Amino acid sequence: MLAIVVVAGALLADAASACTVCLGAQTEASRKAFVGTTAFLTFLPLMVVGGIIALFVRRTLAQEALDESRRAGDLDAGVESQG
Amino acid sequence: MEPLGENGRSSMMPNGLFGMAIFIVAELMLFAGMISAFFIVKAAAPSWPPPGQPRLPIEATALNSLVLLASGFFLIQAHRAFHRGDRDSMRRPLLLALALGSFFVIFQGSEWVALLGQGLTLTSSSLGSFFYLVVGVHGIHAAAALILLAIATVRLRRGYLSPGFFGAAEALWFFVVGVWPVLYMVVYL
Repeated sequence: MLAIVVVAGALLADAASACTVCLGAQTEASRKAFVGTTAFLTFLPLMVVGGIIALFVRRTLAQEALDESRRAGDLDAGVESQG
Repeated sequence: MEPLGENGRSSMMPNGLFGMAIFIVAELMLFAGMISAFFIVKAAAPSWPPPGQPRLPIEATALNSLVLLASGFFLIQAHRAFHRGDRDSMRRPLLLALALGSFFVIFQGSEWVALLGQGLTLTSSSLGSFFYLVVGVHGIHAAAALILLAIATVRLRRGYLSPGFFGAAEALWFFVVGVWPVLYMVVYL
């Protein structure tokens, strides 16, 4: 029974016109626009996320260095006040 | 300077600024989607701009764009004064940024009224649809950012403007200023 359903499904199936780049674009200009905007929308979020990660790493390192120097300064001040 | 927390560390970024940064990333993708749709519709159109539609005011909007960029420049001055701790020197550039930004939005509004009068509407053509969608969404962002800057100005005057609030307000305004030249080139040129 399952085999009949599978074979019937395979015979009834038709190509899905889902790819807008291949089937939606009627002209060369449209096709180029689809390809260009697909690339734009693919790479823009990757660049944004990459930029944010780079910014976080840079700011975290700078903050760590600043905090470290402040902790060292506090420590020195504490030793001097005890001495 | 911000005090160190219990773990001996201070925060990397105020929470308000961090929240606004996440919002701006989402909005950037919204504008990217609209720009992409605009390019596809423009490429598929037999002629562009569609026949019978009024010409967009390229020169006047270019001058208005300079006003917006000048607003961004004055906000940079305010930013520098804020981080120097010089609240008195910050007041004037912040007010100038607010005034120039308000001028930009009002000018855009008057431009819309003129274009509507010439027959460019949301339903008159795909140019009209995209023009009002893209420029309108930008205008809403500009108005929201101006409200935040106005609140920041009031808080500065009353002496309780926090780095988080000012950071969020200026980040949104810088986004509005930064994205406009791209929209101008895409939609107007």
